[in-house]
Amino acid sequence: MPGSPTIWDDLTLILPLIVLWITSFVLLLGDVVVWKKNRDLNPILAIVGTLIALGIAVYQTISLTGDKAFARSLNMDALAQVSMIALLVTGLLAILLAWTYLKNRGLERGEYYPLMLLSVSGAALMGAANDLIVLFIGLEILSFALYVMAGFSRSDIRSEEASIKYFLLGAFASAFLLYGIALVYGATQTTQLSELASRVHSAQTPMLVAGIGLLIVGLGFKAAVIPFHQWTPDVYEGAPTSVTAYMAGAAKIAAFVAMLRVFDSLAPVSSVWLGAIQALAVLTMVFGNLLAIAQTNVKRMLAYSSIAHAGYLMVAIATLAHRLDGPRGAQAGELAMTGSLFYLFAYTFMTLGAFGVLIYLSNRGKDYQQIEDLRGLVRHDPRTAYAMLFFMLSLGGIPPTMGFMGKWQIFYAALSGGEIMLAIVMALTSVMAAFYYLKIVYVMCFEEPREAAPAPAQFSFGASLSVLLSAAATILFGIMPGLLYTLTGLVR
Amino acid sequence: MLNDYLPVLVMMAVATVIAVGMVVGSYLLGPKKPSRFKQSSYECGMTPVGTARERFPIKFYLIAMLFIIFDIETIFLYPWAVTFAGSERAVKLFNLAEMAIFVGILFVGYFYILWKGAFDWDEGQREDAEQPSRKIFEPRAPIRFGNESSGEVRLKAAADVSSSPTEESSRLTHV
Repeated sequence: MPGSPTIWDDLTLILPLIVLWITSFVLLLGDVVVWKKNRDLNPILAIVGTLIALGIAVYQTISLTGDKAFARSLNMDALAQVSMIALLVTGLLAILLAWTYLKNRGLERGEYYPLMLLSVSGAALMGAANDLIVLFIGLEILSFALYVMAGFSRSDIRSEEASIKYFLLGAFASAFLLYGIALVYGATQTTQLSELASRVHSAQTPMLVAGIGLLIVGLGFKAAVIPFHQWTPDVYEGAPTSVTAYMAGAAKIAAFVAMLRVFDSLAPVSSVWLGAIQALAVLTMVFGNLLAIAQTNVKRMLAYSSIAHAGYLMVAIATLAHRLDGPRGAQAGELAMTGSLFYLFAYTFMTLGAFGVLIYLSNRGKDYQQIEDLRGLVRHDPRTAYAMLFFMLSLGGIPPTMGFMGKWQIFYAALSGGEIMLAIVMALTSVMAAFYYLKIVYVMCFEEPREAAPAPAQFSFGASLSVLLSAAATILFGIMPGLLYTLTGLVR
Repeated sequence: MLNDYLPVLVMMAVATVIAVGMVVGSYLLGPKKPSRFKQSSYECGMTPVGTARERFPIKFYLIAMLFIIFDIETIFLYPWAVTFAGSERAVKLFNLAEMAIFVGILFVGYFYILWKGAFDWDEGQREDAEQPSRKIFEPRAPIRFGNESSGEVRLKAAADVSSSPTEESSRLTHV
C-alpha cells in the first residue's frame, strides 16, 4: 500500500482480533436476517470463529516476532500472545457452557455470542496494549459487553440489578482510570508504556503519584481487589451463570495482564506504589477468604474466592517491583510474570469448571446455586461430583492440581523477590481457603441428599465437553506443568 | 504586568456592586404583599399538578441510543473529509478504503437495528415481531427512591397562605 508500507504487517499482527470481529458481525446480522430460527448455528459459528482465531494466535506465538504495531500502540510480544491464547480458550469454554444453558432458559438471543467475542477482543487488546489509551479502549470494549451480558436475563430482577450495578460502578472506575492516565501523561508527557519506563524515574512529582494511585483504583476495580470489590458478589450472583463463568475468567485475565504491563513499566518508581500494592494484596487475601467462609450460595462463594485469587495475583505484582533490584530481583520479576500467567490459566480453567458444574446441574430445570443444593451429589451423580471435587481441590491449591502449581510459582517468586511477609500471608490464607472449598466437598460426599432422586440431568453436549476439558486441563497441567510452562515461559 | 488587568478588576468590582445593590435594594425598598400565587413554585407556565417522575415509553431512550451510531459517524467523517481533501494523491485511495471500512462497521450496527425492527415505532403491527416473554409485564413491587413522597403532592407555599379557598387553590393542594 503506497504511503503506508507497514499497514499490512500491522493488520497481520492483530489477525486473531480481526477474525473475532468479522465473526461477531456475521453472527449479529445472520441471526436477524439469514437463519432467524436456527439458533444452534450461533454457538457453532462462534466456536468456529474462536477456533480459527486461536489457531492463528498459536501460530503467531510459535513464530514470535515481538513487533510493535500501529505506531507502537500495540505491543505484540509474548505476554500479548499468551494472554490472547488464554482469553480465546476462556471464550471457547464459555461458549460451550452457554449453549444449552441459554436454550433452557429462553435467553437464546442472537446477541449473546457476538457480545462475548467482542469482549474477548477487547480483553486481548488490553493484554496487548503498549499505550495507556489503547488499554483504556480495550477495557471499555470488554466492560460494555459484560454490562449487557450481565443483564441478559431481562425478566429476572436480580440480573437487571447485577447489570445496572456493574455498569454504574464500572463507569465510575473507568473515570478513575482515565483520570489516572491523564495525570501520568501530565507528569511524563507520554502515554506509551515503553516510553513511560524510561521517563518515570526523572518525573517523580506529586502528579505522577496521584496518577499511579488512580490507575491502581481503576485497574483494581476490574480485578476485584478489596476495597474495590463491592460489586463482585452481587454481579456474580445475579448474572446468568454462563455469563458469570465467562466474566470471572476473562475479566480477571485482562485486568491482571494489563496490571502486569503497567507496573512492569512503572518498576523504576516502585517505591511509590509498592506499599499500596502490598497493603491491597494483604487486605484482599485476608478478607476475600474470610468473607467466602460465610457464604451459603455457591456463586457468591466463588465470587469471594475470585477476590481471594486476585489477592494472590497481587503478590506477583508486588514482586514485580523488585525487577530492577539486582540479578536476584530480576529473576524474581521473571518468575512473577510467568507465574502469574500460569496462575491465570489455572484460574480460568478451574473457575469455568466449577461454574460449568453448576450449569450442567442446572439443566435439570432448577438453578443449582445454594451449597444446600449440592448435598449428597455423589450419590446420584458421582461423575459430576468428582469433577466438582477436583475443581475445589484445585481452587484450594492442593496438589496434584493446576491450582497448586500456579500458587507455588507465585509463592516461590515472592520468596525469591524478598516479599517474605506477603508469602507468609499467602500461605496462611490458603489454609483458610481450604475450609470453604472442602466444605463443598464435604456437603457433596458425606451428607445425605435431601430429595430422594432428582430428575436426571438432561445431557448437554456443550456443558459436558467444557467441564471435561477444564477438568482434563486442571489435572494434566497439575501433574505435568512443563507442558504449559513452555507457553508461559515465553514471557521473560 | 498585572497593571494591564486593572480595568478588568474595576469592571468586576462595579459589576458586583451593581448586582448586589440591585438585589439588596429591592429587598429593602420593595413593597411586600405576598399572595398564594406569588409564593407557589412557578408563577407562570403550567400549574404543577404532580411529580415529574412519570413513566414514559422506553422507546425514547432507544431512539436516543440509536442516535449514537449516526452521531459518531458524523463526528469522524468531518475531520476525515477535511484531511482527505488535503492529502497526497498516493495515500488518497488508502484513506478512502480506511473510511469505507469504518463506515462499513457502522453499517453493521445500522442494519442490525433496522432489521431488528428498532425503528418501527409501533412494533405490535409487525407480523414477525418477537413476542416478548410474559414475565416482563407481570406486576412487580414498585421501585421506590428514598426521596419520594407518599404519592400526594402538596404545595407547601400555597397551603400555608391563609385566605379563602378558591377552586384553584384546592386543586393545587389536594391533587
